[in-house]
Amino acid sequence: MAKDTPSCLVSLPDLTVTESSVTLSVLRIRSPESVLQELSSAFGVAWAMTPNHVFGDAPEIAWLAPGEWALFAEADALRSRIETACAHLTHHLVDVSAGRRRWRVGGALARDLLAKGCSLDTDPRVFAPCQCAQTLLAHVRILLIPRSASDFDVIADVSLAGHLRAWLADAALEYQP
Amino acid sequence: MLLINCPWCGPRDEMEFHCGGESHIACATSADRASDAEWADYLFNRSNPKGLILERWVHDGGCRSWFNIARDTVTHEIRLVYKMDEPRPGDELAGSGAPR
Repeated sequence: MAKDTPSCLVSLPDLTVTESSVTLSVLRIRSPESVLQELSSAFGVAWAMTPNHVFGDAPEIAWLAPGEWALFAEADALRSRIETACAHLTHHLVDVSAGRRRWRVGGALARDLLAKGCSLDTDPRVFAPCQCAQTLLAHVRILLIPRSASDFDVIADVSLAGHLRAWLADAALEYQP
Repeated sequence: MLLINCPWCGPRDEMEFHCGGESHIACATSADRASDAEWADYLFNRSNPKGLILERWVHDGGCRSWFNIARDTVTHEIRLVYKMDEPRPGDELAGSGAPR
């Protein structure tokens, strides 16, 4: 998947929105409890079953559903490790980089902007950088990952990128000086 | 709007969910032996109670997982949320009009 240069949608003193491609693979495993040890050693990280939890470093891994994780890396780069760890289990690894876009929403007004189309509580006391959530933003299913108290990654289907791009730009209008 | 406690994601708005109808519907006999009446009952007839009902819901705006809830159709109170592989609740819901 060709990576494009991040493009800036909104650039204000207290709010920036940047759109870019994202490298992302989805891993599904049936009864992953039995291979936690193998996965942990293959990726050098304590593989977590905790819902809506983000862990790991290279690649970063986010919980999506029971037995399903998003891995921020190309599937080709993960395949041998996954195949070794899950050799005896039904599993499924697919590169969805071409099907997703990422928006980084940052700044003091980032939470205000997201709150216009998303009912999730994004307060850092309940939604910290080790967490993630799949929820709705402007009726679009997104994966939301907090990067700090005021920076968020929004990952959504590329087919809805046009709508989300327009919505984000429109939602930011009121903050224009 | 209901606030539904997804067993995995925690409390989320009803907007993120869809109801999949009544839970624990099973055909009394196997599909190839059922009479027309039994099959029609299995497919179409639901208890539709005024009071407590056990329903399947899916968190399709989030983790896309199915689970069961026990909901009061009069007050919309959600009495219990339990996962698909958990047994049908009994005593936990006693005193509130037992579901069918």
